[in-house]
Amino acid sequence: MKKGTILTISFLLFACVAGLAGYIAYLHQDILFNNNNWEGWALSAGPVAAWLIFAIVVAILPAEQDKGKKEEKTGVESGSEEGPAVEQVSLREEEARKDAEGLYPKEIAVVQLLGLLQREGRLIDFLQEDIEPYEDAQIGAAVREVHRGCRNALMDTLELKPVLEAGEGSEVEIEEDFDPSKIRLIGNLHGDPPYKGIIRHCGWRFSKLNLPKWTGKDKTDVIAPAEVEIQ
Amino acid sequence: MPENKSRFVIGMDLGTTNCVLSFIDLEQDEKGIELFKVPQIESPGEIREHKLLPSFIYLPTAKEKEGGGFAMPWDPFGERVVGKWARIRGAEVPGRLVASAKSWLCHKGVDRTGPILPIDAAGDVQKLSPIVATATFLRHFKAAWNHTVGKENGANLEDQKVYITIPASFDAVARDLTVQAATSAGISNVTLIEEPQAAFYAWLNLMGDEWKEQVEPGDIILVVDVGGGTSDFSLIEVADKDNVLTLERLAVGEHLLLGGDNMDLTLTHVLFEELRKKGHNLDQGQFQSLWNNVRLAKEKLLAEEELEEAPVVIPGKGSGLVGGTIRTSLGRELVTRVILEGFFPECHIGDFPEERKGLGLKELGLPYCSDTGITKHLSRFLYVQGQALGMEGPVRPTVVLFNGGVFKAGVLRQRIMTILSEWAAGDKAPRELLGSDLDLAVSRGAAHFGIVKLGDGIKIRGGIPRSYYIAVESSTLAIPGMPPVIKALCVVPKGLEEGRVAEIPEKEFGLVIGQDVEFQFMGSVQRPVDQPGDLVESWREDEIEPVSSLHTRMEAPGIEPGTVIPVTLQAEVTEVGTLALSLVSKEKGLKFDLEFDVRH
Repeated sequence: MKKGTILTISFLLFACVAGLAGYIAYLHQDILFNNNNWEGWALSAGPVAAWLIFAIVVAILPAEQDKGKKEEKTGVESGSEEGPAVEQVSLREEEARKDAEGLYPKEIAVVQLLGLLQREGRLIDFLQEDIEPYEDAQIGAAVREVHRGCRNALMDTLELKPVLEAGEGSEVEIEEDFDPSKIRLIGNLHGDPPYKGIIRHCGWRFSKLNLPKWTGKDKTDVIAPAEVEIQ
Repeated sequence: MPENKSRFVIGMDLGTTNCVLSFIDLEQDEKGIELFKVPQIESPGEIREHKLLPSFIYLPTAKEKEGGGFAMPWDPFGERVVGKWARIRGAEVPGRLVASAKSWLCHKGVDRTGPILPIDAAGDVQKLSPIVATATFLRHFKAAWNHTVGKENGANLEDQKVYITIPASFDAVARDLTVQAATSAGISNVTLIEEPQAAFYAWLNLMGDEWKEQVEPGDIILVVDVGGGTSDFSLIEVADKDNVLTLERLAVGEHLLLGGDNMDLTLTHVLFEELRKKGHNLDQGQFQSLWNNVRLAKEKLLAEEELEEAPVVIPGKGSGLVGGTIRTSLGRELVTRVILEGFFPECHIGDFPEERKGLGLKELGLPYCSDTGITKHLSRFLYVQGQALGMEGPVRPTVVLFNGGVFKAGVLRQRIMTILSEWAAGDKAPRELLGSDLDLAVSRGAAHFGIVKLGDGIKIRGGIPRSYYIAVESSTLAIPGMPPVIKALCVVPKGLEEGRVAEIPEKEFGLVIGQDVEFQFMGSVQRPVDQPGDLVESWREDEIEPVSSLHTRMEAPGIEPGTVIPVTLQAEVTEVGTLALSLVSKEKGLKFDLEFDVRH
């Protein structure tokens, strides 16, 4: 649950309690306020004070919790994988840091990756074009270019690796503690692991993200600028 | 921090089209050569590291700079964009692109210290001189290094030993200018090393101790280095001195402005014309992708012999990618005709390049070779050096080392090996040294040379590759209407080693104090026997070539202007690898340094 949601819900809850307390105080004014005792004040101001304390605790705590969660997650990964996980960790931390500072909105990464694929392989031009009217040969020729460019751009940016190293069609044993986000089981699935199966698709993952360092504007939605030739 | 001084040895390859920096960490036990990944602008607002730094400078407009997209961590303004984006962007806006700075640096016909680049500059562009352009690449390396590896290790580049490679064919002036560029970039601790030698050092580094098994005394190693813009030949002799193998650089070739880029461009122009005749008018961007794809198609054809043609596709203009795609193909016949017959024609030893207009070499201003036959230039090189070295007939190399990306095509290496076997005339056919990285060897070799300089590994001896002369007018009676007869007085012998001084005590000049002095300075790669003081009365065309003029102004305190004092000429090969010339008056204890005049 997000911090904001927690605070809003708790505020409403405490407001109700405070209101109720106020109502009681209003009904029993003589008992509560007349002989100069503390019950009345405590009853009406207590919930407000309690909520303030709660809100402060929430504001501090969840950040710690999140961090704990993250470490836990990466801990699992680095346990199950070789080297590259370390880089992923540092990358994620970097991202988190940049997110926090507001320097690296997610859109920039999208702009960068799409910009790269467009620059090197004209991918956006290709996807946005109506290719219906053209012969297969014409499309094929263009695809050759798009493929070469995008492939190079992708190779420069990520180190792509299959999730399972053994080739398609080969037999594998799925361990008891396998990670379902990495391996999707299909077909005649029953009982508990370990399973035996045949690889139908090796899956893809990347082990290195090497996006260029961004020094441009903090916010942009331009994937490829318009081109104007000055005569 | 003085204790960190020169922790690294740095080798820089300043190529016509790409620059590379390699380094060795002297504190590591392994002392392996590492490649520096150079941060550069990938596109406005993006910085990425690449192992090659394309030798291009883009000069952005004020508006382009405003966005801050060209800022580097060390340069918030982005006045000059260096590297990959400069190359891409410069193709779209040629009037703001500085390219081939290295070729301009050794072009005698222009003022190399004057702001002349880009030649066809846009109106508001502040032009750069070839020296400043070269310094720009060096400064980029320096800043990038100091920002990364340098910062991590507290070892700034200017405090390290830096080895910069130059073509063996660079004359004294071009060498001097390279050092000047380095100095102006704030890198003063430099030493120059010739590229073919660097390529050979890279091979030595790769082989380790095993190199001694691969060559034997008596071998003559030919290094054929065809880069993006220049071709360079060198001969290295293996000898046995008291049971120790020695290496000596025997000769270097003349400056050939001819390289791989010319080959690709020639093919591109042929296809461009074909397409134009079919009604396709390619714009600048399409020409670039044609050029790029022609290169790929050429490499494919040269690598796969059974292919008859390779497809060349030019994607459509604008966003109409598929609809506007132009399909054509590069045929084997064309590649064979242009590359093999145009640049690597079969020829006989003794065939000389022809003085004719070559194919497609038309970039404005640069004095490209008129005969594109690299093999013919090689033939002349071996023939002329055979004579110069006093051999019977042409030099017959027994071992060949290739360098330069062009030679990734096995066919081209094969062509040269075949031709050399024919030229061997019954002697054993030469063999090829394998294993070097054709693109990166030069910078790696420069770094290895740094280790050799520290006393670890074998050094190639050889000294300076040219002999130098000053022109003296003949004292015979002048004939009216005829230019005075010029003779060449040898002042520096070929092979003079670093740190050595050459002097001609018996030849005295009368110098007038308070007046400018000027000498015509000449050089030759073909006369290794001339010694200081030798007077050459006549020579074949091209045998001795003008280099530059030397000048100085004599001012001496305490000596009345107009006084004539006798002086002798002294030449020294500096440790850096440049030539320092001066006039010395022993009697008065005076020394006047002579400077190259590169202005016209």
